[in-house]
Amino acid sequence: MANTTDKTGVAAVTLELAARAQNVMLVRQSVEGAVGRMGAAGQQLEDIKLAVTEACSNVVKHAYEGAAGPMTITVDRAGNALTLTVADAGEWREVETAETGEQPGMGLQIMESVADSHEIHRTPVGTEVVLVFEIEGVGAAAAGDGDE
Amino acid sequence: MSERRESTDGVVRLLIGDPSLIAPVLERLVSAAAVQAALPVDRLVNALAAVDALASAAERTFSANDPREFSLAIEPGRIELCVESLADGQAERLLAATRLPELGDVLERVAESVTTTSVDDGSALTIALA
Repeated sequence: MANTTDKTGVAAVTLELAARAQNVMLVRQSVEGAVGRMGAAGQQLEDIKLAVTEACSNVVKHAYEGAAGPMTITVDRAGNALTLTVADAGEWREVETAETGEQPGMGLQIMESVADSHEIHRTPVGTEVVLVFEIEGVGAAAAGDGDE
Repeated sequence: MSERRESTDGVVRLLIGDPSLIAPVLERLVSAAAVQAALPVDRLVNALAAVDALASAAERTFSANDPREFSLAIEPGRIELCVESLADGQAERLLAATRLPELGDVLERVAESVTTTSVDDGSALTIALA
């Protein structure tokens, strides 16, 4: 079973890339590979992909006002808790939809709905979204089962 | 990678703390990158063959505390995967471990170029696919 932070404090997976719309798919694919191997499967795997897609989309839309600042995603596991973080170094804010004509997003509600817990940390140096999923059926999800 | 750095458009940096995740993460990341770079399907297949060979070799040759740091540069028609922060000589050992008895040097057969470089006290292995 793939499990979590190593002895040196490095997360199971850390991904850094520019906050561009086309990169959200790179994150989604990478996260799918990681969490599948870490025991997520079925609907939960789909929920995790959906949540991380929403979190990254929020960074692209809200953090840098269209610029391509950095976006950092980590995936880690401690016991049954699988934790994903999506962090940026911008000023995360809601788009004024009346000004832009955009439809208001449902990202936060979706993340809240599918994650077992979630937190949003806004700091002067950026924003971090933390999503926690309790892995179901850990005993049945041997290493590699979620890979295909 | 603990500090947030300026992003570079077109470059993905990946640090893997669990060696069993190299294959599933790289496979999907490189697949998506190949699509983003609009590589033709035969090059996509080559990219996946390269990742399979590299991931297998990495899992066999890296020790538990070795850094597993990768960068992936994406541009139209080309992707470049680099295994970074390797110990001196480790890039050559990693490349050697990708060679299969029946197929020979898989990476050099499927990649546009494969290079090992010395960087400060270490080394890096770069695989270009175009």
